[in-house]
Amino acid sequence: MSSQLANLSEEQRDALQELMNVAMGQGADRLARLTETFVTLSVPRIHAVDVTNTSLLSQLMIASQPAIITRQSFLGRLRGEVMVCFGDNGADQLADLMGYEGVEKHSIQDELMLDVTNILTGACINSLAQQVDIKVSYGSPSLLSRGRSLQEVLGAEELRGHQALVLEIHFEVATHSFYCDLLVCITEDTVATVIEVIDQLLNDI
Amino acid sequence: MKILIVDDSAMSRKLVLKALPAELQAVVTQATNGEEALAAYHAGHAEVIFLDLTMPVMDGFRTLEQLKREDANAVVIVISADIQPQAQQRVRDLGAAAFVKKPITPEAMQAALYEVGLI
Repeated sequence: MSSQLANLSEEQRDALQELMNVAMGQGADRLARLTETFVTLSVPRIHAVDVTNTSLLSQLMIASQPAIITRQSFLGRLRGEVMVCFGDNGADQLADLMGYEGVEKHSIQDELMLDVTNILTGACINSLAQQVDIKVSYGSPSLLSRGRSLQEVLGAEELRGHQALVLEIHFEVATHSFYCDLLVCITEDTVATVIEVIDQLLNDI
Repeated sequence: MKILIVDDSAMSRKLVLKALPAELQAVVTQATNGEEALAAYHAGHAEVIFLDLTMPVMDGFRTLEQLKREDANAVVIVISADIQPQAQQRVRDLGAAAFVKKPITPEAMQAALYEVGLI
């Protein structure tokens, strides 16, 4: 099946990107409260990708680099999962920022990554769901991989039946910088809901 | 009134246009980043500027800083998805007349215009 998400018009892509911009603004606000710092947000960029053809992911900077990858599923009229790819030292940076040291720093890192995953997944998917007034429930975030690239991980994952959007976002937190990319995988049978969200946004203006 | 809307998103610029009250009789110019905004301002296309913060090329913070350096009386209303209290305080410190969170609504537009004394 050809990807409906890959065939979005420029107008539809702009609308979705702006929706994600608002969502990431809310995510950054929650992240700022978590870290008690000011978070500088980059312009989010969206690309549709074919998850069954991982060579397409090579266009993305993070795809071939070792990363910490977490995942969180969502269920309802919108179904799929979000994978969050943190830079290899992202956990370290975040733990430093929050003042953790020594043994405690290492034990807290996974928990911090999962907290951030929960914040970003919630912000991203809620923004889509609220637009068409649907309820979405969430699974618990979990650590998928550490030290492997997104390309390697996706090669091993069974993602047939999904279409995907990559949301590239860069957060700068005080003097620390960490980046993360979100891979939003949506099941084929609920992609129409995303298109409905976009079209409703465009109809509203 | 000459209005300049600065945002990299076409949809967001349309939302601002739609939220403007008809009685304002606005003549609108649009820009997609800070550099374009400064050029439009220098060309005399703006009495009021609606400015996004997160933009490529030149972001809203730098644009606001530059505008206020050149003209302390420039009327800038920031419209942004960056809702952190620190971001709102920073734009106030840089001289923004009002802050409106995205997505803008006609009610929020009315409130902002009232706050800066334009209606």
